[in-house]
Amino acid sequence: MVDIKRKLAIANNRINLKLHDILLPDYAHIRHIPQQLDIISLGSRPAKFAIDFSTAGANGFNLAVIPQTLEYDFRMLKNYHSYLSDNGAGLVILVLCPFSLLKRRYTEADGPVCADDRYYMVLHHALVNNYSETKYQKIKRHPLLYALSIAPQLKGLLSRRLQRQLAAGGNTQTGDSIGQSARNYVQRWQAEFGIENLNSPLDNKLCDDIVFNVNIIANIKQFCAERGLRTVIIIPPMADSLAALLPDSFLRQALYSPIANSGVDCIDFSRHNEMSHVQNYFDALCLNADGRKKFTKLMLDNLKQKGLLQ
Amino acid sequence: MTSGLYQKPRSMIPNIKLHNGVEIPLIGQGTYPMAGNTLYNALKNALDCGCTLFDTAHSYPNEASIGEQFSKIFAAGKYKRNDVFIISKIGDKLDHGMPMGYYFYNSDSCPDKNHRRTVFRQVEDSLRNLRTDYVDLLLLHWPYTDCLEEIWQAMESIYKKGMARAIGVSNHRPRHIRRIMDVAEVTPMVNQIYFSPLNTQADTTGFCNEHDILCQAYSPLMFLRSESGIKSSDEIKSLCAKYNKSLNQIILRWDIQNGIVPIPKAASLKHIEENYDIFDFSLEEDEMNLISSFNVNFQYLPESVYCPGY
Repeated sequence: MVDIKRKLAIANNRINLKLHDILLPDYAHIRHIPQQLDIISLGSRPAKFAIDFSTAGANGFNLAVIPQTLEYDFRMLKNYHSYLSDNGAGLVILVLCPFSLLKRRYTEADGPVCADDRYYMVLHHALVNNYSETKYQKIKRHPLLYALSIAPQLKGLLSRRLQRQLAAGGNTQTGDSIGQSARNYVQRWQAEFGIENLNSPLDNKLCDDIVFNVNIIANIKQFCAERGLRTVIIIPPMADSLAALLPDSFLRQALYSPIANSGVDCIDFSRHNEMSHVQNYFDALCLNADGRKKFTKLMLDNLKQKGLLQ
Repeated sequence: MTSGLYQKPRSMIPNIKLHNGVEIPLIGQGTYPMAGNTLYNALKNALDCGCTLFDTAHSYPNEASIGEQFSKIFAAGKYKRNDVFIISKIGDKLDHGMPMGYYFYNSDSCPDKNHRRTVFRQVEDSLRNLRTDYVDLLLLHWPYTDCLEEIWQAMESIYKKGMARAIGVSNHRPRHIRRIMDVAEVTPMVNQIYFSPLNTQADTTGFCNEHDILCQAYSPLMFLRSESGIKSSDEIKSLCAKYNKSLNQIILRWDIQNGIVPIPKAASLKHIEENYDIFDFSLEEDEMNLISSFNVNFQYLPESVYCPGY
């Protein structure tokens, strides 16, 4: 009887894990992170689609998830930094895109993504904002009930599945479609951050949010230094059509000056001529499989040249 | 190797002195997660084989069962409370072995942020569960970085009140112990860590040796359940044949000669007898180095997962 109960418990656990993987596909891979890594990369959507260490034979793991703030990048690092080898390269890569430093936290205005539910199964509970034991038990032990409670959000699963299919494939886009994607991105960002004119100075709230995020980067740098790890910021490539829509004045204020203030080295691939062609992208900001393979190698070669990797 | 009829006299397991003068046996018995008759037999057999050190923790589900079984053993008259050396630990709450972030964090997951009070409550709980008015050694289970100094100062109070004869830490690296030593009136006497041929923790054991902190090893034989190369090594097999000892015994002897007190868990009489029959032989230096050569810095419990920000 005890044996049957034990087997039922094991089977139930396996089913629950599978359901979690279906509900939260972007996080499923984190459960398989190996030990003794040389590199960990962190970031949000562009980061997730920019780097695939397996294609370059590098001993790294991409912890980027969609979407993610720098606050949670730091928490991911706090949770998983032990997977970096004591005797390895000890490199932590922060992947930032032009609007990364403008986002402090997701709020109810951002919709369902503001909920921290998605972190319950991959982060230590002390690292999750507004942690709720009741919610955790529901997610862990009753994933079907949890799925019903978030039914409207499940619609997004289909579009994310399509995105992953696009990301996993090669070139399927045209210059026109990428151009439209670039315009869509900029419009969404401007709406999200209340920026009417990208040529104008950013308002006080956005400046405060930038300072908040720069402090996080500085804390990440210190955290890494205390543990013998090194940090580098990578700005991944984007399609020419998107780069053309972002004024230099905006990028200086929102990205380059704050990064300089953080004290962390930065390698900027945003306008790299080897990555400019549309064939590398499935949308204006994110690389497809071919682009990802090319960029990962390019990035690793650069890191080696700078002495950050052997 | 001993037969089932052999009973080792108690005096044949040597003791070593901690820096406060308390004597501690050179090998112990783990208890997680045994309960009921299995636990009773394991405790009784260990005592009959001369083992007097037993390890538990506030977060282990069987601490009350340990108290219950010891009561039965002491009631039989052959052994008394001061014949045994009991280790307990204060720490986070566990859910099926995984930390909950419920104790010792300054985050939403931790309802009571009066960490000093939590230390006292946990020690009082453990003493009540174990049916004793003192523990021989109280350890801090992980270096909870939000409040490490506060916890240690509370443990010093516990020590001064006589509720623990010695105090120490577990899973601490040099940087954590330095933080403690910056505020400590009482230096940790013990650091219980994962130590095995797969992870020889040279930095931590070296630091502890320099500061007269005794290292213990939990789960010293757990690595033998997975493929590590050591079981199939012809050279290791030759060692077993040379000394007429099992691989378990070779590993435990290697621990002792490294100055580490191993705390293996065994339930069967055969394994218990075997574990303590390691004081009649000695490994040579090249044999010690051979076993150490299997080191890959393997983390049995990935530190940052169990203690974020580790």
